[in-house]
Amino acid sequence: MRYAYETLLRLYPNSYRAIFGKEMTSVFELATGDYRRHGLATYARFLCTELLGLLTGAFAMWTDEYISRSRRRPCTPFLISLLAGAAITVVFQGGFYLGMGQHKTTHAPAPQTPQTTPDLLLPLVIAGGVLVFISVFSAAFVWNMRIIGNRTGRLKPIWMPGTAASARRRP
Amino acid sequence: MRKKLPPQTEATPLTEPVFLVLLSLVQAPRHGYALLKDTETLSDGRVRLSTGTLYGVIHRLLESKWIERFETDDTSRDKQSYRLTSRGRKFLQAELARMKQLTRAATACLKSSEA
Repeated sequence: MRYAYETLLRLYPNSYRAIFGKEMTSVFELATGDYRRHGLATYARFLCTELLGLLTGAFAMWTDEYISRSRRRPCTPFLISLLAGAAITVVFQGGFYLGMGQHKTTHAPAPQTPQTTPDLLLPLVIAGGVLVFISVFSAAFVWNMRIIGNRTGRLKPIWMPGTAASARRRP
Repeated sequence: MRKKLPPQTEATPLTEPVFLVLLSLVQAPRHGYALLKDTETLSDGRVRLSTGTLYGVIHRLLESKWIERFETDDTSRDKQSYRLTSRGRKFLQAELARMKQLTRAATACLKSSEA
């Protein structure tokens, strides 16, 4: 049981495990001995509570770790990548709208003939929304890859400037 | 760099595990297993903390300096004792005052509805 518990403890961040790992295992062993004497049902309930506690605890600790790391890390590059994505979208969409406007004025139908071309507003809005979504998603993806690359030090995506150097600094 | 806020402030009420752990440490410094048993006793067996929850609470309380590690004769890496700091005691008293006020208000409401 101790081995299973220590394996589950690996779900926690290293920094947390280094401080509390041994202590938690020791308390778990004492509690196991205690609850085993109270019968199988109590023991099974205790094990379920422990499993749930470990999983939720690990999730909470990783959330804390992530928040504290993102506080330490400056968010300027992320904002810059978001702004760059938004600027590219605006340029492309602006060009598209201008092109469509010119096309409409040069190929305007005669006033007598009924308008046969469908209304393009809805498809344009949908296309714009898709472009915005793709740009934001790609910026977030690139940023996450940088974080993962820095954290593990193994991915080292060479196509991102600065990532390989910062990954090399970490042990 | 932004200043890190403590996990618990005066404005936020304490969770039950945090409250029970603080209450247990008011009496005497305790180690992890003693805290586990004492919280169960204090809550009449209603609250059974898992080690994951207990050490999550201890970690947060240590970070916000409400409790501190306490060196005893049998202190080892497997068995650490913790004690309440003056800051922790102050927040516990504030929480108790808040609970008393709530109890008074609830009692008054119930009495007026019965009358």
